[in-house]
Parts: sequence; structure tokens; C-alpha cells
Amino acid sequence: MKHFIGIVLLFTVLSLVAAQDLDLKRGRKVYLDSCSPCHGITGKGDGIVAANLYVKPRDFTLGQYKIKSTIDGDLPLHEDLYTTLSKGMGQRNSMLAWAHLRGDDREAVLAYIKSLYPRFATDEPPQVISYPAVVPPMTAKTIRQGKTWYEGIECGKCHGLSGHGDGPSTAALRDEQGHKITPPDLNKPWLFIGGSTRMDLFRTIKTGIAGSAMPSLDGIITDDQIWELVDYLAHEFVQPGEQAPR
Amino acid sequence: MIHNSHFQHRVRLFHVLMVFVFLGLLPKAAFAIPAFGRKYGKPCQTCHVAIPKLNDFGERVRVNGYQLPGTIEETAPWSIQAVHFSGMLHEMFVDRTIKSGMAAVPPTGLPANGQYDVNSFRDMGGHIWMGGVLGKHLSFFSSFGIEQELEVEGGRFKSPTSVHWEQAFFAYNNVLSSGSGLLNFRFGRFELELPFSSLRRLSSALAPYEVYNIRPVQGAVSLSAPKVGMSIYGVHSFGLSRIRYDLSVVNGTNAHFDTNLNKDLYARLAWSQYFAGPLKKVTVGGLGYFGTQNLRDLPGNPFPNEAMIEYWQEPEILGETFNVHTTPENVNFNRLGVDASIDLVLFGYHLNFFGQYLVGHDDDIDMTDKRMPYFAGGGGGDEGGGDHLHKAMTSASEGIEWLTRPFDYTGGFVGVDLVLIPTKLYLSPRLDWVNVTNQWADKVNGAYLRQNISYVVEGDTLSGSDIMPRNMTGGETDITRWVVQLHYHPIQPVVFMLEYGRQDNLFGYPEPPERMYNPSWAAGMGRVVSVDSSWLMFMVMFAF
Ligand code: HEC
Ligand code: HEC
Repeated sequence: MKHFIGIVLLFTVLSLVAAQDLDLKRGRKVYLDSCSPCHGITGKGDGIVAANLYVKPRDFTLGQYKIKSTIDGDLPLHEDLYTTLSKGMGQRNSMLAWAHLRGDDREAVLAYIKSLYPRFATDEPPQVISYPAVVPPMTAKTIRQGKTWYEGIECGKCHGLSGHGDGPSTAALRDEQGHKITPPDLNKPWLFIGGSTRMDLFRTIKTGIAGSAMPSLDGIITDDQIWELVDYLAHEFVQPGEQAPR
Repeated sequence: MIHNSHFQHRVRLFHVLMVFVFLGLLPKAAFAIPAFGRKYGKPCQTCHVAIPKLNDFGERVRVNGYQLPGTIEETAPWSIQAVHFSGMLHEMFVDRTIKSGMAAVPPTGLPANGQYDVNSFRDMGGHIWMGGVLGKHLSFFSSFGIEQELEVEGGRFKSPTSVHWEQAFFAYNNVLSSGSGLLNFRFGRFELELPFSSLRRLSSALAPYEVYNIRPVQGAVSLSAPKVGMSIYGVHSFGLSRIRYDLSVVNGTNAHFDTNLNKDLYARLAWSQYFAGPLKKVTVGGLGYFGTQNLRDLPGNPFPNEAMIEYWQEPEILGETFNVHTTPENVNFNRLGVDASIDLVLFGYHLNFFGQYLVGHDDDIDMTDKRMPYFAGGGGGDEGGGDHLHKAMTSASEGIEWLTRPFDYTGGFVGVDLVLIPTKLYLSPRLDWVNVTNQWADKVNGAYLRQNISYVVEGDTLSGSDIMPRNMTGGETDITRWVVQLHYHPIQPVVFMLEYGRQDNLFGYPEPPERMYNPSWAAGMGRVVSVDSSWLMFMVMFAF
């Protein structure tokens, strides 16, 4: 009986490993067909069309992701990547929405991408930022308060006081790979890479945008204060009702 | 506009230049996006190297029926919310110098001195494209061109506007439901899957791919003209290799009424290998076009029946009638080509080297019935008699001369497209050449040159027994053309293009042996002209 259980266990483990291999193989095929022209055949973000793109494709061997709901320094959740892959990253770069890729292919290709960065396999599960249970109401007061944060934290240095991306430091901004990076016009929410609902804005401001110049405010101001900032952005720039799906 | 420190010093220089050229036209990046770009909400460079040339990703989208590679859109046709269309307007300004080695009447009514300059706004026109996905398997594409033609009427230039339906086809994609584009069909009028799309090339209308453009025979069409028919095409990828194939069956005539009964066949196979590192991709391919011509394809030669043919072939009649050049038989022509393309990224600069070599052969540009004797012009046998096409008999008693007039050429082009400033500035030089041996036809108009040169042999007149020498090969033609273009996208919907080109032998006339022509004749009368040209062209395209 013990032997039997042992054999069953062995087979289960083996077939799991084999299944994972198969998944990775499938993932690599999807990757080469659909992603490699931009992200490069080794995943380094140097695909054949990358040199002619303004916003460079992600280098998957660095494990750095811009859109995540985890704390600074932690890897994104699988769900974060899945959402980004399905919804795309706004209209300012070439990262498309792959919603028409079959669900299992999306899973397979993400598994493959993660295999290019070993920490996905070895790290402790990432720690998710704290979200409020309910989105707090937006009031004239929170908007007014948010304005003082926008000016106080000097968002305008990079984004410009009008949000048009014409701040004093804007022109000099570089991302971590040394490429020039410009902030999106905050009045054009369809350009946002992480979505423009108030919940999206909360996450973006709290986590920052890793690898770009956009800082994380996690621990710098409180969640309530971030909400005030969000309300100001939503009211002043994004405009309620104009929250474009990404 | 600067993405990479390598660019910086260069960029400054270019900006100085550009500011001069396009004063004040350097607004901040905006992203207005036509048709498919609009559907996916993406900047042009996602799919295009520079408008209109597709990049590797754009090619994958195109093969997959305008759906992202690997995907199949499941939307039902009736729930599609918008049919995407886009348009393009363009206008060019051409400053052109034409040097003509022709003392007498130059073509199309231009002044008759040795060199003249033309500068004009021209080709104000546009395009409207429609295309999209109609559910799981179906996609379509349609394009209209609105062009100003150049016409000479009463000695004056006129520019009537014409609208033509360039392409219109439906495709049934992903027949095997794979989403990888392995097997697709299309029907309609489309450009053949040439190694380098003529419709999506970067150079202007003044500089088409010359080897694709050649059109020896009246009634025949060039390789690059969109054709009516159907094709099976697709791509298979394994590892870092991709094989692309296309098999088309078309009416060679480009008309939807094809009288020659045989269909033309086009096949293309290409292999691409991708690499990590600075060398990104190498593609090699081959093409073959196998066509037939028949006199019935020519205007004014509808379906002759056997009795008519027999009548025309009666030797006694040949002396009197001119319209004897007909045969129910097909005359074959073929084009064979090899091509290669190499993509490199060096120091952040993307370079695409490409080249095409093509060999063309037409069995007989007259489409002569092999049984048909050849006869000299009517009238006195002098040049005055000669504005008809003739088959002639050397003389009834000496037996019959069997003549066919093959047409052979080789040619190609090599070029490089270089990204100077990503998404903004592109440089593309290219060399085209064509060498025609056995030149019997005016390759530009597809008209017979034999008409022009058949009547003179060193001032002698032709008579019944002194026909055009059989050993005359028709002479050789060499056409060479250099073009260099600068493409500049100040903002996404606008393209400025600056092109310099020079072409030897603009009209592609042959240079037969001296004795073949009489210098006192006007062009088109057997006078061989050599016309060289150079131009500087500035074009604005606005895509919406
Ligand atoms: C046409 C080019 C292109 C293709 C094809 C493409 N991507 Fe991207 N991708 C990009 C660009 C550009 C970025 C970076 C956007 C940015 O930084 O704002 C990106 C970013 C990403 C990111 C990073 C998201 C984050 O949070 O930072 C992921 C994950 C990703 N792509 C996955 C994929 C997958 C999987 C595929 C294939 C199914 C794919 N991409 C195909 C251009 C492309
Ligand atoms: C040091 C410069 C800098 C500062 C300071 C800065 N940002 Fe940003 N911000 C950026 C850059 C760069 C981006 C674009 C990142 C990208 O697309 O990769 C960005 C993007 C954004 C976005 C768009 C997110 C998206 O989904 O595309 C929002 C919203 C935003 N910033 C808000 C703020 C607010 C609020 C502040 C002040 C607390 C702020 N930023 C401070 C540089 C900055």
C-alpha cells in the first residue's frame, strides 16, 4: 500500500512537472509568435521593431513591472500581469490589449515570461498594498485638500501645474534604462498605462511606476491623503465621466 | 524625440536642419491614428516602420487577417460596432530636369530643346482605405485611390481626377482555427504577395520598383498591378524560423473579364530566421509568375473563330490584309525572382537591407501565331506605309519566315531603410536597374516598338523581300535609377518626404544599333530617344 501511494505521488509530481514543461513550451510558442517582435526573442525588450518604438518594450529578464498592486520592491501579482496583458497599457505605447488571445494562451505566455526571471519562482508571495474596502466619497473638500498635496509634493515638477507634462524637470526625465521618458498629459486619461478610474489612480500613486521616474507615495502620505490627491486629479484633469477604459 | 544617448549629437544637427525645413512644425508628440491604429488605439510605429511600410509585427497582423498574431477575434459580424476606415491626402512638389538626346519632337508636347526644367505641384490626391475583421474568420480590405492623371490635350497639359478601386478583397482567415495564420484564402482584387510591396514602398510615384513595373506586351500587366483572382497564403512558424507562402491564381489582364482562358499562376515562398543580438532577422525568398497571353486580350481582338483564323492564315490574303496577327494559341511569359532582406540594429539604429533580383521572359511580344508568316508593310514599302503591325512573308516563292519576338530582361533593386530618429526620421536610398535584351517593346506603354523600327535599314526602304532583319535583337535597354528619400514624421498623422532621384533612360527606350533609325525622325516614328532625368521632390502626406 505504501508503495502504491508512493508511486501515485511520484506520478502526480512527474505529471505536474511535465504539465508545467508543456505549459512553458506552449508559452514559448505563443511568446515567439505574438510578443517577440517587440520584447525580443530572449525577452530582453530588444525585438526587431523595438528600436523604432518611442516607449521601449519591457525587458522581462529584469523582473521590473510598472503596473502592480504590491509594495515597492515586490514582484507583481499574477493577476496584475494578467490584467495588464488583457487590457493593454493605454494609447501612448505599443503594448496592445491581448484580450483576444485565448485564456490558456495568456496563462501560458505569462508563465513563460515569469520563467525568464528566477525570483518569480523563489520569492515569498508578494505583499499587496492596503486597499480601502470602499472607495471613499469625493467631495469639494477632498478635492481642495488634494490640490495642496499636488502642489506640496511637487507633482507639478514633472507633470506641470496644468498636468500637461510641462513641468520644469520634465524634459530631463530618464527611466532606469536611460531612455527618455515623458509623463502622460494628465488631461488625457486614455494615455494612462494603469487605467484611470479612481481606484486605478489610487494604486498608481501608492505604488508609483517602477523603473520610471514616477515615485511611490506608499508610507509618505496616508491612504486618506492619497485619496484626496486622487480626487483632485480626477476632478481637475481626468474629469469624472471621462474615465476611459484601458 | 531623443531616446538614446547615441542619437544626441546627431539629433541636434538634425533638429537644426529640420527647423529650417519645417519651420515651427515640431509640436509635441501627439498620437492621432488611422484605421487599424485607431481600432487598437496604438501609435503607427506599432505596425509600420514608416508609413506605409510595415514592420515585422505589422506583417504578422496582416497575415492574420488584421487581428493580432496568435489571436482569433470571436466578435459576430452583426455586433461589430464600427467599420474602420482611414484616408490619406498627399500633394507633391516636383522640381525635375529632363535631358533629352532627341532633336526633334519630345514626348508629350514638352519644348524641344535638349534640356528642360519642370517644376510643379502635382499628384494632389489621396486614398481611402477600409478594412477590418468581420467575425471569427472573415476579414476584408478595400482601397480607393484618387489621383490626378496627366494628359495632353490639344498640346496642353490637363489633369483630370480619377478614382480607381485599387484593391478590394475578402479573406477567410485561419481556416484551421489556429490563430497562427497557417492557412488563409482570399478573393478579389489584390496586390500579389510580392517580396516588397509596391503599394507600401517608401519611395514616391516617381520611383516605383522598376522590375515589378515592367510591362512588355500590350495587354499584359505589370507584376505590381493589383490582380483579380484568389490566393491561398499563410505562415508557419517553428522555433525561430518562419515560412511564408502564397499561391495565387489570377487573371493576368487585370480586367475582370479574362479572355485568354488560362489563368496566371503566382507562387512565393520565403524563409525568415530570427536571431538574438544585433542581427535580428534574415529573410530569403523566391517568386515565380507564370502567365499566358493571347491576342484576344488585346483591345479589338475579341474571339476569333476558327474560320476567321483560317482565313487570315491564307497566304494569298496576307498581302492585302493587315489584321492577320492572331492566334488562338497562348503565348507564355514568366518572371522568376529571388530576394533577400536583412534587419540589423546597430547602436540603436535599425537598418533594413533589402534586394530583389528578377528575370523576365516573354515568348513573343507580338503573340504571333507560330504558323503565321511575316510580311512587310503595305503601300510602297516605304516608311509612309508603316503605321500598322505586320506579319510578312519574305516572298511567297522563297518560303515563309517564321518569326517570334521574345522579350528578355533582368533587373532588380537594392536598398536600405535606416531609422535615424526612432518614430521620426528615416533615410532610404535605393538603386533600381533593368537591363532589357531583345527589346521589342516600349516597356513604359507596353506598345510595340517594332512598329517604330521595322521600316528602316540604313535608309533603305523595306520591300517585300527586304524585311526587318531577322537577326535584329531589338537592341538593349539599360535603365538605372537612384533615389534617396528622407521621411519625417513631425507628428503622427503627417509625413513629409524629401526625395532626390536620377534616372538614366527615363522612358526605357532601347538603344538599337545606329543603323536602325533615321535621326531626322520624330520620337515614336522609329527615332530612338534617350531621356535622362533628375528630380527633387517634396511631398506632404496627411493620414487621417
Ligand atoms: C508591438 C509591440 C509589443 C508587443 C507585440 C507586445 N508588447 Fe508587451 N509591451 C510593449 C511595450 C512598448 C511595453 C512597455 C510599455 C510601457 O513601459 O509603458 C510593454 C510592456 C509589457 C509588459 C509590462 C507590464 C508592466 O506592468 O510593466 C508585459 C507584462 C508585456 N508587455 C507582456 C506582453 C506579452 C505577453 C505580449 C505577447 C502576447 C506582448 N507584451 C506583446 C510592446 C509590445
Ligand atoms: C520625478 C518626476 C515625477 C513626479 C515628481 C511625479 N510623477 Fe507622475 N509620472 C511621471 C512619469 C515619468 C510618468 C510616466 C510613467 C510611465 O508611463 O512609465 C508619470 C505618470 C503619472 C500618472 C499616469 C499613470 C498611468 O497610469 O499612466 C499619474 C496619474 C501621475 N503620474 C500622477 C502623479 C502625481 C499625483 C504626482 C505627485 C504626487 C506625480 N505623478 C509625481 C513622473 C513623475
